Amino acid sequence: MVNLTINGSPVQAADGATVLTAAKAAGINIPTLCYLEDVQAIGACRVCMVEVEGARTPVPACVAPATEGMKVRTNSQRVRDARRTVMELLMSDHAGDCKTCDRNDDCEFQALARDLGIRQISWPGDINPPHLDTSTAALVRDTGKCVLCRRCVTVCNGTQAVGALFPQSRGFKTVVGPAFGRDLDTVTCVQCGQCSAVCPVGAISERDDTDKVWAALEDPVKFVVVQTAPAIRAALGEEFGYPAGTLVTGKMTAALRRLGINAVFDTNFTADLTILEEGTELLMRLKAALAPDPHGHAEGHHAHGPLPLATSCCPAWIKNCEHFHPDFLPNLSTCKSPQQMFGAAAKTYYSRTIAKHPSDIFVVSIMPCTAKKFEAERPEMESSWQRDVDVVLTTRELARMIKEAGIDFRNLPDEQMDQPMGMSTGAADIFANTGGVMEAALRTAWEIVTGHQLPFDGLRVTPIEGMEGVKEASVTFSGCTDDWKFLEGVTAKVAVAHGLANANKVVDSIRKGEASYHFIEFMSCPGGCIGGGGQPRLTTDTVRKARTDAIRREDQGKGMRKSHENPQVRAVYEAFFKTPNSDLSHRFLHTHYFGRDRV
Amino acid sequence: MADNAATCTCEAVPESELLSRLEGVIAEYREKPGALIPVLQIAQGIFGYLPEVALKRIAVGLDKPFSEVAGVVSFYSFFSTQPRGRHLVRVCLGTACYVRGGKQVLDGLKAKLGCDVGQTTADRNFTLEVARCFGACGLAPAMMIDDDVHQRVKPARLQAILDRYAAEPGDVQPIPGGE
Amino acid sequence: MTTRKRIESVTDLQALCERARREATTAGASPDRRQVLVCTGGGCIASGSLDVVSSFRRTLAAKGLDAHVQLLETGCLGPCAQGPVVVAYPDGTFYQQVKPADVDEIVDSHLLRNTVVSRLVNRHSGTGELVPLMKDLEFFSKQVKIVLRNCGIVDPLKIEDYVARDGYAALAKALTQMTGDQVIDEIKASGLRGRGGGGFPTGLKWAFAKKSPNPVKYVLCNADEGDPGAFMDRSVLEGDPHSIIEAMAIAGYCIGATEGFVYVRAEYPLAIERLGIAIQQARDVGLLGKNILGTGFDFDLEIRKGSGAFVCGEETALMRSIEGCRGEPRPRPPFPAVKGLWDKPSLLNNVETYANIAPILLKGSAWYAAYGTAKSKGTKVFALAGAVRNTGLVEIPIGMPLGELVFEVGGGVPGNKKYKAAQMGGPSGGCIPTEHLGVPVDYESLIELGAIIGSGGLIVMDDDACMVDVARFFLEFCQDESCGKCAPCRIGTKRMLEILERICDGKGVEGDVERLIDLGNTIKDTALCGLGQTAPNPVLSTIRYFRSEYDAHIREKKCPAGACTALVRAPCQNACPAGVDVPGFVSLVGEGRYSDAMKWHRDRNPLASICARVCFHPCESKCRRVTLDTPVAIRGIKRFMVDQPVDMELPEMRPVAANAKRKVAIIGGGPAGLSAAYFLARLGYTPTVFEAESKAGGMLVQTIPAYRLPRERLEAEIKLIESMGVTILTGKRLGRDFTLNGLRGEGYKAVFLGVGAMKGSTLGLPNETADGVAEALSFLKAANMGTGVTVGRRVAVIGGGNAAIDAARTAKRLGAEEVTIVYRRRRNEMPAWEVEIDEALTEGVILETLVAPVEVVVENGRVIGLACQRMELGSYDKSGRRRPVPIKGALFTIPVDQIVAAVGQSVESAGLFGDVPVTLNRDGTVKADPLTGRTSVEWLFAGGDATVGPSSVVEAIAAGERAAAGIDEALTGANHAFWREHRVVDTAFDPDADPVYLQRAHECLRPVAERTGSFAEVELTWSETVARGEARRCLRCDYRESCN
Repeated sequence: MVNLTINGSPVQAADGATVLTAAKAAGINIPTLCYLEDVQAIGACRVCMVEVEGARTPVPACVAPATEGMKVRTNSQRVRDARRTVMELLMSDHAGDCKTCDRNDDCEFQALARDLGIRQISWPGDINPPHLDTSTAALVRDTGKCVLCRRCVTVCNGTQAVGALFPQSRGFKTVVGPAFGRDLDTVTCVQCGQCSAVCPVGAISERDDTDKVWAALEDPVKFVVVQTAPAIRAALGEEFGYPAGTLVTGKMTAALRRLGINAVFDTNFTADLTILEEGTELLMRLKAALAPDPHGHAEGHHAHGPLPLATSCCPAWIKNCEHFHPDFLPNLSTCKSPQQMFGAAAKTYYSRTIAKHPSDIFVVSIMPCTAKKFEAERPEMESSWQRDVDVVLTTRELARMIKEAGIDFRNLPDEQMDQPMGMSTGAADIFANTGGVMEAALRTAWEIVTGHQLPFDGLRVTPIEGMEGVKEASVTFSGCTDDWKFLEGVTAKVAVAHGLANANKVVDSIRKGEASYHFIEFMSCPGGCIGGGGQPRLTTDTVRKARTDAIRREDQGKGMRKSHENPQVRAVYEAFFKTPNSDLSHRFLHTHYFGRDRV
Repeated sequence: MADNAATCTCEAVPESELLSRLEGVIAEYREKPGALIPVLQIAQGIFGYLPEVALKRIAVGLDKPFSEVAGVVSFYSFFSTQPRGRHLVRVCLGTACYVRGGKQVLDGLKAKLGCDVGQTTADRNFTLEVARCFGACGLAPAMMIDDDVHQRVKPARLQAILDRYAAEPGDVQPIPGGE
Repeated sequence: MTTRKRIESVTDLQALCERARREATTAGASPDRRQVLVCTGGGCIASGSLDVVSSFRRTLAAKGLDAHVQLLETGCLGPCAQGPVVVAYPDGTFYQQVKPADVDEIVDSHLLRNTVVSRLVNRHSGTGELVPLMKDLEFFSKQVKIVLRNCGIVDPLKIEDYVARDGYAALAKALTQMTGDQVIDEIKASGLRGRGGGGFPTGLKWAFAKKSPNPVKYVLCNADEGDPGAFMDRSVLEGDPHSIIEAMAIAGYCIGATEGFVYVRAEYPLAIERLGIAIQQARDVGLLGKNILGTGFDFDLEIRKGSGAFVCGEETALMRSIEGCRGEPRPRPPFPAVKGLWDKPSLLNNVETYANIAPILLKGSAWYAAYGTAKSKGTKVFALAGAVRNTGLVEIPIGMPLGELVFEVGGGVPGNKKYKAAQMGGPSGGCIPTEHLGVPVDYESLIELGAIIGSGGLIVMDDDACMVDVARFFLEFCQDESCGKCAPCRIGTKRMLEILERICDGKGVEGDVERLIDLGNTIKDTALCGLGQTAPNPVLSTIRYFRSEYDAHIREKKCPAGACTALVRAPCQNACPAGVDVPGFVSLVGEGRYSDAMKWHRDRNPLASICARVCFHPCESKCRRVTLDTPVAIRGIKRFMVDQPVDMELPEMRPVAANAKRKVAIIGGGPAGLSAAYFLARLGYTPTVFEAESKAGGMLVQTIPAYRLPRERLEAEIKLIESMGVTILTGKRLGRDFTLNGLRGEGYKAVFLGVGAMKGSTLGLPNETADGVAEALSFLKAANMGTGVTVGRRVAVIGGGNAAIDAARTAKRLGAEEVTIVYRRRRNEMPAWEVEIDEALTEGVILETLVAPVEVVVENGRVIGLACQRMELGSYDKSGRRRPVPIKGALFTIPVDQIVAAVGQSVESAGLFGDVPVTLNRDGTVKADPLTGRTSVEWLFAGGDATVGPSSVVEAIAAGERAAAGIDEALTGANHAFWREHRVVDTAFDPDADPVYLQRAHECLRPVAERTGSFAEVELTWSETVARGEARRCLRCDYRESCN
């Protein structure tokens, strides 16, 4: 513990605390811009300057260690003047027009200008020529609005290890972006959107696709169905003033209906479907590895992939693999993500159910994720002979539509989703957070193999819960049914990684032979989809935890908590796909991958 | 010094040959900490500049994002991603040279070479750059052509100096009796 | 290449040292060894010293001398301006600017016949005497070489040379006799501070790095000498690389590091090459690597080259760069001593700091601390550059007064230029103006003045340097080199630069200077690293000392130094206070169109004949022809022009009827008043001039002697002005014959006050009221106006200005037998014109310099002598000159019967204004807006000496013009000064023709014999051929604009 004085009051701070964190704990707010809790403290923007007695110049609170006996002033005329000048300078090189900006009223920079009482820009001058990058499906980058806080650089290079964004040039000409002023579609960007989630201004945002949805809703021919990913219901409320971790499933459903959506479904439904497909694929690969057919006769022609099996729900992880780990592509599950399974199912199975031509069905996904926009546009994602998913909206875009439609979200009644594709189990809910897919798969696979419930308290595989970057667990099969006798006594080793830097570490360790697993869950975004790039800003560790807790509550509140228990899933097999990993499911629910350039 | 590259003869050597030399360098440096900048310096010596193909090899070879490699290249003024002339002309605009007429020397060179700072003459003989002090302040204004420092340059003498380098590389004409 | 034996122990090292000393291959190592040393420092190489080396090699071989004469190649000796430099030992004869063609003569004459080649030898700057020996050169005699102890002595490519000079003995001592703490204590005690700029105590830094617990640490050397204008680190690396290697090894031993990096900027290829060779040699002999000197200590070094980023001189950025990243600084703490290169504790010093370490350990901290000041110990190397004679590297004890460094070690400002400022510390530093030349060069004193020692770049600026442009230059540098990480530096310096650019472009607006100060201070407060925190310094420092130059750019759209191209049409015109279109009238003279030329000149300056004689012609000092040969003799051309028998033509008049009715009074018929009347008349006013004396002309008639300014010339020009509608009333003295309020009562709408500074200062000496003591202005006035003057037989004139010379020459002409001018400083510090002094001496006037009067010696109430005190030069005073101080006991008396005091003049303002509340300046002059002449009283304008104290005729003319425009604007509400519009002269000029080399024509003077007792004009006019030839020397700098 260290004792210091802030604005005349004694404050006690933990060892290792900075002036900023010490002040915050004492209820004193110091304005910041480049600082990003849990991620970055680089002292670059110089907005958080405070005066420290004895120091020649003001110091940046975000990096200044709180030291014993320190006397800090956070609100002197000198620091107020300094902050204001710095802010005015930043604004003088900011090409954005607040009124028309995506971040209007949701902009940290704008709020800072307001809080610091900026009434004019005293230092007008040249601005860097802005460059608008609309090359990707997921993200729009406007360098003119960039304030060079470098949060995106830190998440892109550190957390995600993708390295698509980096400071280029130097001095006044410094710009954050891909090499040599290129657009994102020419580089290794995986479109996870973590950059857009941390951007304090409108310099990197999701591509706004709301107009396409509005148009479809206006189109009398289109039957608009929507799927909502599990992570949405734990986060959408934040856009309407609810605290992080508030579940708003019912209000969300109601809001979607009021927007004019014809059928409100759940991606959870295809998450359950995914578990059956992917679980089966895992068991087949285990079988091929542990009990190979002596006659070389495999069950179906799809069962031969190598171990470990890696999940494939996350499109940014997939793209990451395609760029950086092409040798690992065979390990990826061939299952499409739940989003794409939903699209395919909606335009095949469901269109038949309601007797509509697939082309008249317009599938809108509400995703916590920007990479889903990219995924939906992958050329192979038209198994229904047209785009399986027509438009992907992020949580933020959905909130924008609700606001634009004048819907009083907080006063909406709770409504239920439509059937058949609105039904899901708790296993599908937990797809939203790190460890969830693994847990859901284990719940089902274990039961298939042993006929018993997964032997974890409350079905929660605790070693793979939490925010640790790479988590491992192992379960030893016992009591296997006859079909799965070869697994008896086998210890299945599983790993869960979230954040692409962690994912890369796992792949590297496998490649180097330092680790071996049977099954690995990969999610690009820290915390999983609840921390997705399309979620309400800002996603700090505290927010991640609150959203995860909400998802866990959703799971525990469900009667059915194992995917194979979902009767509607059973129904879809019976009516359409027949069995998991069947030829038909391979045609519609599975996919394949391509190597991409490494630079 | 090889990496100044002003007198490289790369035009004569096929790119594949240069790239394989680069691979050798990358292999030598791969395990060394802080290898990126030395490798870039050597690569610029090999190619005369830093072509994209080389930068991509370096990125992959040193396991760095391409954007980071580009970020480093664009940070340091010595790195060039544009092909350069056979001779690199650098006019010092350090303080001493500036107050002693460096700007006039630069204006004179721009006129004589018909190109701006950072550009290369049409015949690819000269690339014009400005520099910030070679430490030849006692002899201001100074300019450097390749590794030769020319001191107390007067605009009127520029043509005579440039003429020495107008010939093919390796064929620099001496001025009898010094300057 | 010789294979070198490994040095396994201290004994081995000592053996090598003894052997190397016996071989005596370092410069001057043996009194009976003949050596020829050629400096191969970077500067001398650029001057062609390598050719000199090969020439010596050939010649010595050809003459069979190669066995008897050692040819040495060493690092930089310092005097780069004199390169290539050759020193012949054993005596140490210093040859400068040696060309390969000179080598034969040096060998034949010096080596074979023991005769010095005098044409290649330095001459004393003052006396012109030959100074053949290096040790006697002024440049070297005040230096103390610790850092540069081996530069210019050893062959940097031979480790044996270094060892012969106790090289690696300090390392041996540290490794075998001292603990790390003892080494650090010794460095602490020496008071050594970081020589890279910050001045942090070096010993403390080492102690922090030692204290930091970690098995892996690094020793780093900052050789990224990025400050433009500093090149001492380069010189050490090129001339004595082993001193750095040794110091870094010692540092490694102290803090517990086994690895080191030297970060060298890529602009120094020779330094990199030589350091690389030295490291390899040290490795070869085992002074780097494993188990050094058998002590078990391991240490090795690697060179990392910079890639052109100034910010990498900042320690955290430098480490990032070694790591292979963008060289962006990071906030401290953590400090490098805790978390440095690759997050390991690291010790970083710059080259010069390291170069001090070995001598401190060998000779002891007390020896080192004996140099310098209380807080700043030891020596500092400075790189002298810019407008200074001895450009190059010098090492001086810290605390030497700046003036001594610039004028004695540096040899002063070349040409007839004046010292303006020394820029110290590069882009992080500031400038030191004339009034602070006495500042001791140490860390604290310079910071107080807004500059820093920094890395030791010292760039001297003369009047040709525009301080706004210099500030702009440095800011552009910082802006260009900003890493872009923190907002204040990235954007703030850009905004400051934009403001400076617009000021230099003539687009500055009121408030820009305040904006620069505001922004500059915030950037200093908020930028992340030293680069940004110090980037505003050059701007703030130039504003502090040269605010008036900023104001001239912003308010007058004028660059006084003539450097800002957007504001300067032709440098001569820019330099002319009256703004005369010099190329215009000169080219008209060149075409023989004398009448047009006169008219052209009088468009901006009515008193052409007067200025042709008495103007101090600032135009000539800015003439660009000087870059070719010598400046155009503009005043001589003007003199020829005004002497041509052409009719005085009226200038262009644009009368406005209403103006004729607006009454304007002009008080004082001197140059300011006449000029104001002239320009007012051109706008249709009919001003009345009130002159106190019997003749108009002010100083021109009263104090300037006729031999300099014939009276009929003056009268003709005054007549011209009268013919334009100006009434001149003589014998009307303000306060006696009329009052300001009275004028107002008579309906005068505006009054111009141009009463001059006509009150001569008194001596303040005992007995100065005695009979025979006169004051120069009264003396000259009496002589010139014919009101009766008495002149003694033996006259002493006290003072050094033009009035003193005028008084002396007048006294001589009036029959004084002996005239002595007594001046307390040196001749070159006299404010009088050089040519006037020369002529006075020619006419027999005696000049006593460094003499101060102490008492008027009186007998019976009459002067019989002037008691004087001989003076010597003391410390630098506010005027930038050494203050004369009495030499104790050196008193003497000059027997005289008359003393004329010419020691200054002031405004006689008592009783002048009545009850009109006129605000005065502190020196008693009238406070007036320099642009319009307006005083604190709305209707009262003023100009000339009355507002600025004693100044020049042309300044007064200019002030009259500005006041005329100011009065007109005040009365009409608009500016009608049509003569200020640029007009293009219609003379022919071929811009493509090469200029012809032609020396300047000399003045033509009346023979001395004809001058005795005569007030006939001394200077004569040229012939037409000479004048037109001279006029055609003009390079027509104005042409650029006229063709646009």
